[in-house]
Amino acid sequence: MSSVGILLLAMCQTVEADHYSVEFLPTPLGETLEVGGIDFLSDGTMLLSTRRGRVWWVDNALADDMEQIDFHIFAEGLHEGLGLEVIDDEIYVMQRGELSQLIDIDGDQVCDRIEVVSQDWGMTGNYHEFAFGMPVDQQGNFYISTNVGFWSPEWWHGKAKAPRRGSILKVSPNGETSWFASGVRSPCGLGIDSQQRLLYTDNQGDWMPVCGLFDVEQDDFFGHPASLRWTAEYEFGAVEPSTTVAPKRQPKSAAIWIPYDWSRSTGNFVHDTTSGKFGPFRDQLFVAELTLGNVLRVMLENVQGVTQGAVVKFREGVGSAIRVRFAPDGSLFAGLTNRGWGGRAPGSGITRIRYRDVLPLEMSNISLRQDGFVIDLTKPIASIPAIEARSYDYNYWWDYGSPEMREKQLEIGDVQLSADGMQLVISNTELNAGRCVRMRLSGIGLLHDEFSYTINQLPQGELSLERVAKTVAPPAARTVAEEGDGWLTTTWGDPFDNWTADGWKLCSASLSSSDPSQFEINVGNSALVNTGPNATHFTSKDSYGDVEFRFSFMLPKGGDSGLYMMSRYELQLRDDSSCGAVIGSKNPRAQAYNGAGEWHIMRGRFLAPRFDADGKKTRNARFEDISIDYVSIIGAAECETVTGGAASEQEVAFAPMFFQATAGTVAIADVRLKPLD
Amino acid sequence: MILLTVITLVLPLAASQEPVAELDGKVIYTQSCALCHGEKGDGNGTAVFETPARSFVDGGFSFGNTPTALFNTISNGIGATPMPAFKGQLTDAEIKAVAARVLEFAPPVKKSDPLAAVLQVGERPQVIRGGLNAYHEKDAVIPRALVLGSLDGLSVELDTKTMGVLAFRRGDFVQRNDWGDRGGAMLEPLGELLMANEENENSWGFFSAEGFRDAEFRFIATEISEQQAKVAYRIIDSANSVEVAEVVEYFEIAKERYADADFVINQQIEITWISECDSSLFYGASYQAPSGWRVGRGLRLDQLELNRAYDFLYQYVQVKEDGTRSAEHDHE
Repeated sequence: MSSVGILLLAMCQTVEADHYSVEFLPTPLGETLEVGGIDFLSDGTMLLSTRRGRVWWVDNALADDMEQIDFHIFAEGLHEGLGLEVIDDEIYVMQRGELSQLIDIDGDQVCDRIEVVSQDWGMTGNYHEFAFGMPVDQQGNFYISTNVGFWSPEWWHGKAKAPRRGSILKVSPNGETSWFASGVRSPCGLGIDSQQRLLYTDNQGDWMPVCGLFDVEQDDFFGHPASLRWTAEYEFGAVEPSTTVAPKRQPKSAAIWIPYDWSRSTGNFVHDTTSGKFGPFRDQLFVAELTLGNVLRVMLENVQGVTQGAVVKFREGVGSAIRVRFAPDGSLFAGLTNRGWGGRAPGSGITRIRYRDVLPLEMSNISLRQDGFVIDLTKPIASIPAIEARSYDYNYWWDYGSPEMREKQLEIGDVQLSADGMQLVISNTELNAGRCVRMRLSGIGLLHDEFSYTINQLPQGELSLERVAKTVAPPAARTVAEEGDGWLTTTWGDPFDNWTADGWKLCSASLSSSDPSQFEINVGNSALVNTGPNATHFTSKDSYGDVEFRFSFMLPKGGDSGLYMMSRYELQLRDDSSCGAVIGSKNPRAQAYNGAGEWHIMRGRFLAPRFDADGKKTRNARFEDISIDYVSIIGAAECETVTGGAASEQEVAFAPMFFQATAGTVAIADVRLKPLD
Repeated sequence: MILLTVITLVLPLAASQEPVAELDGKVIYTQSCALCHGEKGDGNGTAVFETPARSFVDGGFSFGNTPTALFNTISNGIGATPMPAFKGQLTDAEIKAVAARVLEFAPPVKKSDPLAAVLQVGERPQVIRGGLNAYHEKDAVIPRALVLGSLDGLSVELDTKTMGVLAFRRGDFVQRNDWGDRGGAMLEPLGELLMANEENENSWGFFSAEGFRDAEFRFIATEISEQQAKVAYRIIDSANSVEVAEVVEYFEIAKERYADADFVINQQIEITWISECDSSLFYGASYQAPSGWRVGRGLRLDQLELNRAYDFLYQYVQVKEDGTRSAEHDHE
């Protein structure tokens, strides 16, 4: 291509913000607004249910001047609220244990009465027994979904220890509740699209290779075996399905398997009902993504009776979105929560995404041919793009997710551009059912130039039995190395029972979006952070000599700390390539540290110095087998002397250890120790 | 509709009814409070009680130490104690002023942690839904529970599966942190535990006592009015799979006093609908009192008639150690 051509292209290339604005609404003072449900009354009032059990009434949510937006509490004391639906101006909310109608008896915009619509699903009290909802079909039936639970120590095996977990349930308008579909794992999003299809999203983990979007019909089974326990086949609860051997029942394929680099925690979705107010994607789905803070776009089609289609990226930088909903004015609202984990910041609040009336160059539709794809564009292009593509599938097994497997480069055959420049036809390309195709079209200035298409079926020929998620031999049993057998979990329960630490807070932490050199601190107990200005070292109450250790840590931008074994020998925790170094001895031989804002697991062994009967040192202190995120970074490192900042110059056989508080901010968690003597 | 409501007994002695000249908390305190609580708020007033009046100097408050909590306590009084309700005797503004005065006696309040999640009963009663740890069995949880919080500082924990009472508390309300970390933690009720169902999870529902055969309970609603947090449920004759009645109930600390009881809780029952089924289904509904407590005489539902109002007082009575007096206050 000529340099002029490149210049022209550069001028054409736009960014997301040119077409869609993202605005964060001001939230009520002091409230961490973790949104779990969004809907609107007919007068434009927005209602938000939150993970924290409140429903907020929001006046003027659509106002251009955000100063006019006004929040007040409509209801509180709910048991989570991970779905909210307004039907004929009546307000329904999905609680963890109850689908309910919220009624304002006296018209003062405060809920007075909460009526139970249904409670007919089992709960054990497990932390992970979320309930999500709840679209309504044309007959007035609600659809809700129930998460499997997770128990220690085999936390990666989801289980249904109570009836109707891991399932999708149908609740009639009078509250009659029936089992609709099974085999779901973590079904965070449910919705009904423009063709009245019920669809749901699931989250990657055991028996779910990646996050997926599924269409749901009565009695479907989606692959997670836990819910089968409550079927006749498993004697209605008496027999637990194997957690490691695939069930006999064949799962229904996902309509879309979403690439892991685009979604790690999928929320709900909505279809575009705005008649162009939100841009050129009529009836298509917009999908919330929490961990990466994205909204994705999905185009579905029916191929030989099977729902499948393509997913593309749509808008980044919306915060950790779990819920999306169109407002009456055609803007898209995204509700944010980080569930205490640290999704992409901001981890709470509500975002308004508006179309700027500037048409982006996008793939407006992608449909499958027997030997390629037909790709419609929103605007004409002048030349044929450079195309790269590969196909792959996944493993269907108990392990936590699956990499993309059996990958192949795709040989692209012919590519034709229509006379009006609005359609590309890719043909003469060998495609197979039971594969995903990831394709990039570069050089034409597409705002998003990649799509992933899930081929469950090709348009012609006999129906294929190949599935994208293929049953494979299960991986070897997983063991948790640092559990039981002498390991002390020193920060479980009350960490301050085992550690002395002034100025440290037990909380949840994520990188602050406004100042990445700081953490945003929230309610939680997933992190210990030296938040106080005069924080002291996080010092063990017990003394240790030889000890194996494992802990998690996260650093902010420029963060600096260290683990001082015996209060003397420093293992570096710093936001740069020296992270994991044994100070004064060895630098890490591999770069395993992934940067600020990411949690890392540090593992290793420390051996105290040895002394003879006269107290003369006979062997130096040493670190061994140090790894970050299971990547080995140091084999062995001797410490001839103590490190700067040590509590004492004098070397001894036993002493407390500490995490340094005075050099900078650090977050630590899950400190496990196994004394070896 | 059958209405069963508590009869109102005479309220305990009122304090000074002298008109208050100006809105000075100190003056109002001296006039209305000092007789019992002492000029210095140390509980050493001139009035003599079996149990001394509350000292504010130590910072201990029965129903919470926020201005709102104190406003509620002063307005409504504390049932079964000499502490009267000042509502009607003092204006709201005067009560606020005296609440502020009372708080001045107390040691400085520990600064609240903005990350803490203590729920309080404010201007209205509250209903909290969530999971609770069971009292009757270690490690057991009640995954679906309610905590009703009323303005008089009483909180009642209920299991929505059985509609049985799990515990009564008074004082502070509930700490909730089920959104923290990985989520799903149980609620932590905060008040002083008055009574906990430690033996049998099913024995404490009004209609779930022995003798009420084949009953199932279906929780249908909660409702908050200005004064009460109410819970509604249906009673189902499970042998015949028919609904037989719909009940609304709420709880409050009894205003009347008993010489032999520290504390009385009224359970108010309102039957909003009853079927024309075999009413002997209800025969013998009555309570087993937990140890240390006794219960007022049971309701004879088998004798109820439709469309007739009943006055009824049903009580959990905490008995003083030497107490022998029976508390029978049911009126028909």
